[in-house]
Amino acid sequence: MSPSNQIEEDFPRGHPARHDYDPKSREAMEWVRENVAPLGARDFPNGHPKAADTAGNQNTLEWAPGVDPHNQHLEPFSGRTPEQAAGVALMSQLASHAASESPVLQPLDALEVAKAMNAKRKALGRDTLTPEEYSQVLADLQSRPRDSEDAETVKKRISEQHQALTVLLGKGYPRQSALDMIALEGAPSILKRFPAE
Amino acid sequence: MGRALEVVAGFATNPGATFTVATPSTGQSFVVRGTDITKPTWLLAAWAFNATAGELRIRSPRLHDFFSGIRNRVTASFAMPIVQSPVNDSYAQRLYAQDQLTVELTGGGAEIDTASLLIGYEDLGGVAGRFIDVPTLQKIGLNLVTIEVTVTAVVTGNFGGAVAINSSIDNLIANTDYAVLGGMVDTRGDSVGLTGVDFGNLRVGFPAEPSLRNLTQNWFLQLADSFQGAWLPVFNSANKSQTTVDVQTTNTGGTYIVNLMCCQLLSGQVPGGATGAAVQGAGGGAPTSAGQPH
Repeated sequence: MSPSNQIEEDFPRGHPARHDYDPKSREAMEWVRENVAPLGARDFPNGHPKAADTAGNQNTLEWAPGVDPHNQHLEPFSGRTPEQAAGVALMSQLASHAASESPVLQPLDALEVAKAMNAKRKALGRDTLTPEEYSQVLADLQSRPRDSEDAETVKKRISEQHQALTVLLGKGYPRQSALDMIALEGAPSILKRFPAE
Repeated sequence: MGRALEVVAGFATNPGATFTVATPSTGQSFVVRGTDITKPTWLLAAWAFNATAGELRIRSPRLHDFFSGIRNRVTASFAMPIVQSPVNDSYAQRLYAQDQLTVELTGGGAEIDTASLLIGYEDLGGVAGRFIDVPTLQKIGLNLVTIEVTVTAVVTGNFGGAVAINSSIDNLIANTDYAVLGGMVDTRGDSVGLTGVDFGNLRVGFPAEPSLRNLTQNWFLQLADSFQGAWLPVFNSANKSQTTVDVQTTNTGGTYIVNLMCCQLLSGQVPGGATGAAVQGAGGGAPTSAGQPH
């Protein structure tokens, strides 16, 4: 391997320790500009794109979410031109005015539905139900009379439960303990045990 | 137990500076479901989407007070939770069956402003959805898959534009369970809703906020993690045509690309799934790839 022809200098041109140092030379002045900071240590060297005194630095650019600060005319997040954005907005507005509200569905028990669907699959001897068969299973389930209490009974129970909860909280029971007691004993029993003072 | 999760959204028309009672979306109500207060019911999160900044107030004599209760500032055009959040540690507000929550909004004087409440029921009589918790997901999860749909919202403040989850891309494996981890939107709105028989025909949902996608894309996963419970909705692809996605937003409406992040699950592991020959064919066995790194 042949030795390298590169000359290794001890100090760069303009450095005060260099043998040919001339404080008035261009190199020396450039060295001072780059390495001497009379006001204290710098965050970035002179000329760094992020240095506060570098001409044209972009430190004041605001990086808002979805916005390209170099192309602020583009629509945030989509990057569409104003013309494209206006077209999309118009199309979307027309579509929204023509759109339908979602249908209201009757709540049900997912496990009951699965059981009914699986029974139907078994009865038909195939896994895939047609939309009509699927809808029929749901219709059968929803048309089935539900065991529901009358509103007065529910209202009375809830009112008693709240009274019992108030009593137990007043006695210093934590809320969950109080609710557990109400679930276990029933509100009437608790109200009897702790009558209003 | 009849576990259920429901996002109840409402709107106020031209509320301005006056607290205006929100009108629930069609078919919904701010009356807490259930017939027994001992069944745990929780307000897990609430958020609002206003074009003009305003206030969201939720109150009830059954909660702290009926004077001011929970009252938070709604910043303009930002639909992230302002009453608790699954995004970080939270304290869920206990709710009581049949309690009429008073939900009010202030905002702009010439606009529809919107708000949503996410309510979790641990045992709702007669209604039940299919939900799993985080450890179950980690145990039986197989592959991530995105469900992408396009929803055109209505301008009335109600949920609208419902489309089936397979309306754009029909790539789900037959008779297979999927957990919905969360979702993302490309346009700001109030709420994205998912409705289907697997969720007890109640609407589960998340904020339609496009700028914080890392927070909504695993919304239900964080919900289950933050509240330490089974709040990850699961649906079976056999019900895909009856499982719909819709959006509720202000009077601006809009077209929404909704990406639902889902996780394919091992078949037959979550009660209420489809059974039959196709289930066996679609991976009824236990692949060694199930689960997470450990």
